[in-house]
Amino acid sequence: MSSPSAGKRRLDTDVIKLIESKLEVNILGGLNHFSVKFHGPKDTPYEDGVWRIRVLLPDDYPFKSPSIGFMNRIFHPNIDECSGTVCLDVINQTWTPMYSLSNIFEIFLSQLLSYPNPSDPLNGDAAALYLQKPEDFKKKVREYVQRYATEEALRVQEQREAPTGMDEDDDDESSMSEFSEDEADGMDL
Amino acid sequence: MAEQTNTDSELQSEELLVLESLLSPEEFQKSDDHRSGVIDVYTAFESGVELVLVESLERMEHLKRWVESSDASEEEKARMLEESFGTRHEKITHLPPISIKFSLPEKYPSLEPPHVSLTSCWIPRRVLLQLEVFLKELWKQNGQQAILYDVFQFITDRATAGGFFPFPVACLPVFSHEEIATEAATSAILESSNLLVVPHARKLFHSLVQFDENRTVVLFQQQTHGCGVCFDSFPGTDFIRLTNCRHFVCKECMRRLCVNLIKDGSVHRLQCMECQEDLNPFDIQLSVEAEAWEKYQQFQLDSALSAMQDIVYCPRPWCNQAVIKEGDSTAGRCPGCAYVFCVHCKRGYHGIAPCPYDGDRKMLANEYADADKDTRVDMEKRWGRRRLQNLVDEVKAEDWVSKNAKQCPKCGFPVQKMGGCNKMVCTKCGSPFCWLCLAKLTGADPYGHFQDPNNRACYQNLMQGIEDDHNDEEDGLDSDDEDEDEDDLDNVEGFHGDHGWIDLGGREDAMIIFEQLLELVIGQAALNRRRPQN
Repeated sequence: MSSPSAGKRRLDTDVIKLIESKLEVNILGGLNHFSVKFHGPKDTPYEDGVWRIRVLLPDDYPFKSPSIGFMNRIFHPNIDECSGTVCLDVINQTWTPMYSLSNIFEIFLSQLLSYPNPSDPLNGDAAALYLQKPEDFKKKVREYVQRYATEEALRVQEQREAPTGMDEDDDDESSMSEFSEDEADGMDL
Repeated sequence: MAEQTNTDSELQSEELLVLESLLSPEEFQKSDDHRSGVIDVYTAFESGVELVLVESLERMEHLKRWVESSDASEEEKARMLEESFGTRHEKITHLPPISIKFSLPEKYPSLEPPHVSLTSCWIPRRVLLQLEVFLKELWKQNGQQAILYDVFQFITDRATAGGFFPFPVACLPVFSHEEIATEAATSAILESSNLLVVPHARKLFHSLVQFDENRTVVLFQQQTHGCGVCFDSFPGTDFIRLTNCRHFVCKECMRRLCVNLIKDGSVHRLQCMECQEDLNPFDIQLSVEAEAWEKYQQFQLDSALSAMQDIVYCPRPWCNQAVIKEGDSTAGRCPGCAYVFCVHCKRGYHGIAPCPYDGDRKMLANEYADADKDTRVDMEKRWGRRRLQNLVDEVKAEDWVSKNAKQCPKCGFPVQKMGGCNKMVCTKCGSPFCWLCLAKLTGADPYGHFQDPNNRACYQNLMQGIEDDHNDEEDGLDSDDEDEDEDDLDNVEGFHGDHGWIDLGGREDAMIIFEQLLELVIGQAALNRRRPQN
């Protein structure tokens, strides 16, 4: 009963469903490592923004939750600016195998961008600004969108990553570190 | 006349053949004499029937009110039932079969009706007798033809339409003789209806519930089902029916769920994948290999023991049993090997002679650590070298823990905070607590604690200390440790509040590191206990 393909059908189905939905999926290293283009939800300061989100499905998916991270920068109380790590209980603590990738992209992430949870922040600055000066917060979010989350910005980032070719991990690391250095002055906007 | 008999016997065998082909072997059993048999009528109500155990006439009134409140909402009706009957009601789908025992006389069907007797545990005897009489009439009305299949059909229709229920189909009340006999004598209610009054109502109630459960499982196992988690299809026998919430889960998915959570030490998250109801340990044991089950039990035992303050471990390395301290006595008596030892120095019990390990252990440890070679040898001779070294390690670790970690208020497990807000979740038992005042928080509204002005130290301090943590993350951990005490532990990663670190490795690594830390804290004994020799 525990054939080597056990659980494979679920992973395949989830990924195919994601590809069949309107989201743009780029395979980075097989069906368990890819990026998804995610558009900011309407009527939020994140509207018009576009992010690439890296998804890594563990061997034990769906019993273990997928690793997801924003590849380009976002200003949000529950998302770490440098690493792109997302703080979302449904993706870790309360993840259950009944959730799927579509849930993450169609519901969880949109909800998180629409309703940040400043009381449980990963980005303290963003949380404080969100609570104390909501207008400034919106302004800063839009500035970030303009700078880092346009189709143009994504293209530049992709080109930067392109030369290293197939070696995914090195590729990601270099792009991440480059990204941090580049934006070091940008942090104190 | 002979011709007539021939035709009858032909008709009879024809009829039995028809029954055999129309009904399943479960429903129809023929005797060897080809003249008699049993037809079982199984009744199922797809939308369920409320089975209610009514133990007094007062409850009878509750039940009547519930039945009559047909315009109330489903939730409202469920609440009414819950209030009046609590555990004495259960929704069931399947009822035990009504048995139609028949034997065919020689002159059936032309001149004699079949002999039919009905039995059922959930239809009153009186009703069954009336039915038997009626079935004879049915034979006459049908022009004295073969009617067994019609009898089957008639009883099936009547049962599924709720025709045997005193109340509408949604309810089957069960009464007990003993409890309401006296009241009933003065009441017309019981005489006028087809109520099921039996001597052992509670027993019947439970056997009906049990039958429903068994039948549901049997029917499920006869078919192939798709699993909602792995999306594969398996025969019903490859599913497990969960004891607590009664959901069906594919065995392989259940196994992988349990193995993963046990491996991570997240045993508090062992829940049904569909409804998040806690899993029954029995189901877990059925689903995982012996090794994982042992680990699960160890986790449960550990968290139970660490919640108790008065536990020491037997110092004999091959024994290591948990020993309960007795009041103020410094003597520990191991229930396993009967060794009696001093709970402070872990050597043989030395009566009222003062124990160097009692009192200021820190001073002794420092004295040993700072002593010159000769003094050390001297001390080692008196108090044992390994014990002294263990003590130094323990004191170091305790020191480190008291500086860097706090104990979960529920299970006492040391937890370190690496960043984020002050709402923490214990790595081990999963309960939320406040990092500042170590209060237990409620799972439903853990943040409320920080918004209540009564909690002076914590009011609006959810994010207090976040700046410092942030600095730690940037330059604290990676830089060389200034503090020598941290040598053993400089790779420790702790937990950031309740935050969903997406990196899956983190949790596991940290769990292992915490285990190491725990081992240091509770000393050699724990180490041996976890990794038994040989």
